[in-house]
Amino acid sequence: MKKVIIAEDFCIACYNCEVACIATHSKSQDPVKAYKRENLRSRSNALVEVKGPVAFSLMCRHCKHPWCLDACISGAIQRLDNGIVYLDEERCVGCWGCVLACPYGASHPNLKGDDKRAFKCDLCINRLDKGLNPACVEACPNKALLYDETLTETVEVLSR
Amino acid sequence: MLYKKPQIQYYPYIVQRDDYKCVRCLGCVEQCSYDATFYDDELDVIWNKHEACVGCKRCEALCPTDAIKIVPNPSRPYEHDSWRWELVMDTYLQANTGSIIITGIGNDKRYRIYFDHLLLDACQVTNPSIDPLREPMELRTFLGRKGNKLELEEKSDGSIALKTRLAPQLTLETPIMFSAMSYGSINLNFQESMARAAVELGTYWNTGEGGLHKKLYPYAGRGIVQVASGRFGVSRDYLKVAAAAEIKIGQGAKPGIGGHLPGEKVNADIAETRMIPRGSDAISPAPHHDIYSIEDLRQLIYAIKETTRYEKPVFVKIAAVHNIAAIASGVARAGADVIVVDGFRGGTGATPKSVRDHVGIPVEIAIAVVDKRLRDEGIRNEVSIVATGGVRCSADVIKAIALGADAVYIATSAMLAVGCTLCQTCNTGRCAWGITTNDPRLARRQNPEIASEQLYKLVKGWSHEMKEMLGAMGINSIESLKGNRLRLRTLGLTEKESEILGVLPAGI
Amino acid sequence: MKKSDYVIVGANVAAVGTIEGIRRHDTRSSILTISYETLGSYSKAMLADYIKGSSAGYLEYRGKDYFERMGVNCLYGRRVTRLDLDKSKLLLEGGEEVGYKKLLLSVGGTPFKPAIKGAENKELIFSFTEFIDAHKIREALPRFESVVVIGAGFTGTEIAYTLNKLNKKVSVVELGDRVLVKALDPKSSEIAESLMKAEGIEFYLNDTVEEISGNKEISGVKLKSGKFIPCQAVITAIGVVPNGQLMANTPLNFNRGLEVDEFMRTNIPDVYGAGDVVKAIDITDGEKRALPLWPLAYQQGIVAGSNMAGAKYPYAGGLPMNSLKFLKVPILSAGITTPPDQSYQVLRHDDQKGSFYRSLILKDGRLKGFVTIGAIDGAGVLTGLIKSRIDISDIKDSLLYEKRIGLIRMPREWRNKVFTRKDETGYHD
Repeated sequence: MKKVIIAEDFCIACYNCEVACIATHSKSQDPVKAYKRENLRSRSNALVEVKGPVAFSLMCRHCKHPWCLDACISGAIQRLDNGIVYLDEERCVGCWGCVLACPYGASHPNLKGDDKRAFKCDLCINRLDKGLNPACVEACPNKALLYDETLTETVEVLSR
Repeated sequence: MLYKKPQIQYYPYIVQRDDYKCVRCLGCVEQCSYDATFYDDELDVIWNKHEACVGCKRCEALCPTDAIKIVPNPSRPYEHDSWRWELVMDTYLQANTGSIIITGIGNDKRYRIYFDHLLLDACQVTNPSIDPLREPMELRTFLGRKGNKLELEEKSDGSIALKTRLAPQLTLETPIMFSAMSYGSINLNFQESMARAAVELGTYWNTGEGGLHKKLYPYAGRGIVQVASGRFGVSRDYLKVAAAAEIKIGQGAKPGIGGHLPGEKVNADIAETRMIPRGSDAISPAPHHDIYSIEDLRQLIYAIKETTRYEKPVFVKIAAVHNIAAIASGVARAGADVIVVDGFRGGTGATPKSVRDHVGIPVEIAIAVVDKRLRDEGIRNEVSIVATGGVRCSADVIKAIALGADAVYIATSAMLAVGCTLCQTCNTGRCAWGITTNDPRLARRQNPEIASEQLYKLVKGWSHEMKEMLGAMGINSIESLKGNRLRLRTLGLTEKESEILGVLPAGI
Repeated sequence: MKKSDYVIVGANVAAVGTIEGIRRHDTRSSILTISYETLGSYSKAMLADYIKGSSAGYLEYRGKDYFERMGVNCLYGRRVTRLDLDKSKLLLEGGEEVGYKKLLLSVGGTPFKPAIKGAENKELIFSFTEFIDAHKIREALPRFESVVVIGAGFTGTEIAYTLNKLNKKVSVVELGDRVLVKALDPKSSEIAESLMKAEGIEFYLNDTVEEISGNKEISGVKLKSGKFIPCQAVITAIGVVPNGQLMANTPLNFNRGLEVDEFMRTNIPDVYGAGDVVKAIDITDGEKRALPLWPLAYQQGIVAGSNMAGAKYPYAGGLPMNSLKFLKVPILSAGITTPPDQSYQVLRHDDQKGSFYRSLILKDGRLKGFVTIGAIDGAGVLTGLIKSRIDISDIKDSLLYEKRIGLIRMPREWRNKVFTRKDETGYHD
C-alpha cells in the first residue's frame, strides 16, 4: 500500500507540510485564508517535531492494525477499501479514545470551541481521487516525505 | 538596537514581512541560521534582528505564503564612487575588531570581465553551420599528456597495433568538471551530490584539500584527489582509489596564501578525515614546505606517479599571477600531465577579503598567454590545460576553450545550482542553504537526491548549449575549437589587450 | 433447528470484532449473532448522549448494512437460556434451538447491584449499563428533580455530569476516599472532583447508601454516616462484573470471569470468549483479570474471531485505559495510575492552575502508567511506551513536562519501524 514515507534525515523543519495540509483541508484552499479566516491554525494533520539536528514531520501511519479503530466508540474510524484509515469527523463524538490509543500520537484532539472532535491524516483522499500526491509530500522542498509503496503486504482488507 | 557599537545600525539588509500573508508557520524562524529571525509567542508575532541578516534569502525562498522579501537597506549616505559603501563599512569593522576581514566566494569587485568582451563566430553562406540535432557533435575530451608521435607496428596476424605507450588519460564526456571544494569548507552531502552527478555525466569531481571521506570511496573512481600544502588526508589509499591526483600549489581566490578552514567548522568527522585535532584552525601553509624550487615540484610529481604506478595523470593547480606563462612552462617541464590555471575570480570558503579582491589576474588572459607560451616552446602537447575561476555559463566555457583550454572546472556555478545566493558568509559555517557548513542541522538541507539532479541538469544544459554554439560555428568536435583564437573577436578592448589575448578585434 | 458455522452470543463491540476477525480468514462460512437487546450493535459508551437527547440511531456502532455486507445473520430480541455444550447447541427463550460449529460467548457484564434496604418496591431506581437503562432514565427525566448516584467511578461520574447538565440536582456517594479510584491517582482525583464540584455536583466520599427511603416513590437516601439526601431517583453505578449466568451448570471454567487462554479459547473445545465477560492478561502486571473496556473488547474479538477461523493469533494482552471527555478539562489515563508498592517511581507535574497535570508511574525505568489532564495531544505515545516497555530513564523529564508528547525523543530504530518502507504497523510487528 502506498503510504507517506518519512525520510527524517532530510527534514529541514520548514513547516511547509503543515501549511499545505491546512490549506488542502480548508474550504478556501488558500493558506492565508485558512489560517486567518477559517481559524485552522492548529489543525494540521501532519506535525513537525524538532530537536537540535533531528527533525521530521509525523502524520498517521495508516497502520495495518489501527489501534485507533479499536478504541473508537462511535465507529467513526473505519478502514476503507484502499487501505486508508479514515476518521469521519461527523461521526466523531470526541471521546479521545483514539488519542489515547495511537502509539504515534497521530490522532489529535481539537479542544477549541464547543464542538470537540478528533482529527487525523486522511492520506489526502480527495487528492488521491484526482491522481495527485498527498499535499504534504508535494509541499516538502527537500524530499523528506515520499509517497511510495511499503515493502510488506497490506493486511487483508475484506472484499465487501 | 543600541547597547553596542553604533555602526551596527547601518546594516545592509532589511527583512520585509507582509504581515497579512504571514501565517506564523515559524518556518523562517527555523530556517534562519544567522539568528536574525525570532518568534514572540506572547504577542504572536515574528520579529527580525535586521543587523544579523546576511541576505542569504533562505527564509524568502521557503516561506509558503511568499510573505518575506529581503531588501537592501535604503538608508545609506549619498553614493560616493571612491568611498563605496562596502569600504566604509569595512573600515568601521576593522576599527572595531582590529582583525583581518575574512570572507567567502570569489572576487565581486568591478574589474573588467574579458569573457564579456569576447564574441564568437558563426557560419554563414560560405561555410555552412551544423545542426546539432541532426549530426553527431563531439564534446568528448581527453585530459593528459599527449605524445610527440605515434608509432604503429604490424603484428604477426597482419593487424596493426599501437606501439607507443600512451600516458594515462582521463576521458570526459563533456569538458566541464566539478572543481575542488574541500570537505570542511563544504559538507559530505554536497560532495556526494557532485560525485554522483559527475558519475552520471561521465566527468570528474575534485575532493579539494580536505581529504576523501570513507563514505565517498564508491565515487572515487571518478574523483580527482587533491594534495595541497597542508597534505590533509593524504595517504596511500587516498591516491590509489582516485582517478587522478592534483597538486595544489595555489588557488585563484587567494594566490600566495594557503587554504583556511576556521576552527569552528572543524568537527570530529572532519578532524578524522583531515587527520588534525578537532576544533583547531586548519590553515594550509602558503608554500608546500617541501617545494621551494621547480625541481622540488618535479620530485613530488614523480613521487606520486611512482606511488600510483604511472597509471594516473598528475594535475598541478596554479593561481593566475603575473608571470603565469613562465610558471606554466616550468610546471609542464616538471612532469605535470595537466595544468589547472585558476583565475582571480575563483571562489573560496574562507579568505582575507584584501587578498581575494586584489591579487591575481583574470583566467582569460592567463589561459591565452599560457597556451601561446607552450605552443611557442613546442610543448603544448605535453600538458592539458584546465581553466577555472569565473566560468559562469556555457559561452564562457566555449570562450575558454577557444582561448586555449582543454576543459574547465566549475565551482561557484555548482553551488548556485543547489541554492547558493552568494551572501559571502561561507567562512562562518552557518550557511543556511546547507552547502558550506557541517552543522548537521544545516547540512541536511542538501539532499543528494535533489542536489545531484540539479548539478546534472546544469551541466547537461550547458553541454547542449555548447553543442549549439559549436554547430553555429560549423565545428562538430570540441577538439577543433581548442586554441582556435580565430573563432573569437574582441569588443571594446584596447589594442594591447587584444594582442595579449591573441584575438583580433571585431570587424577585422 | 437453526444451524450456523459460527454463532456469537452478544452483538456488541466484542461481537463486531469477532466478525471482523472471522471474515479476515473465512469469507464463506455462516455467522449468526444473537442478542437479547433489540437495538442490535450499538455503542454502550455513548449512552450518556442518548440521555441528553440524541436518537437511538446515533448510537449505532456499525451501520445496518454492515452485517449484511459481512454476511452475518442477526437474531435480535432473543435471549439465550441454556448452553448444551455436549450437543453443540443453544436453547433460546421460546424453545428454539441453534446449532453451531464454533461458539463465541461475548455476553458482557452485569451491573453490580448491591442489596440496599428499601430498594425492593421502589420505582426510579436505575442502573446505567445498557440501552434499556438509558431509555428508562430518559423517559423518567420529567419525574425527578434530584438524583443520587451511587459510585464515583467512570460510569457514575459520567451519568452524574450528564444529569447535572440537564439541570438535575446530583449527589454522588462513593465508598472510597476519592473519585475515580481505579482510573486516577489521588492528585488527579482531586482535580476531577473540583471540576465537577464547580458544576454543582455534590460528593459524599467514604460513605455508602444504607437505606432508600420512601414508599413507591423515593423520598431520599440514608447514608452510613447518618446523613440524609433528599432525592427522587437513585442510579447505581458501582461497576460491572462478568455475566456468568449462562456458564453456571456447564463445565465452562468461570471464576469471576470466563477463563480463556491466549487464543481466547475456553476449556471447552470450539467455545471461545471475548469482551467484558472474560478474564484476560493485564500487561501492566501479567495477571489475568476482567478489564471491561471498549478497545480491549474489540481486540479480543478480533483475536477470538481469527482463531476461530483457523489462524493462530495470540492475544497480546490489554491494559486499563480511560478517557474522561465530559469535564471542562479532558482527563486521560492508562496502566497503573496508583502504585501498589514502593518499588514504583512516581513523577508529577502540576501547573497548579488545573489546566495541565501529568503523572508518570515508572518501574525499573519503564513506564507502567500515567495520567494526563489538559494537555492530552500525543497521550497515545505514553500508552505505546507502556506496551513496548522501552527504557525511558533518559527521556522521562521531557515526557513529564512537554505538553504535546511526540516521538522525537524515541530511539531512532523504533521510529524507523514505521517511518521507512518497512511498515511494521501490524498487531504483532
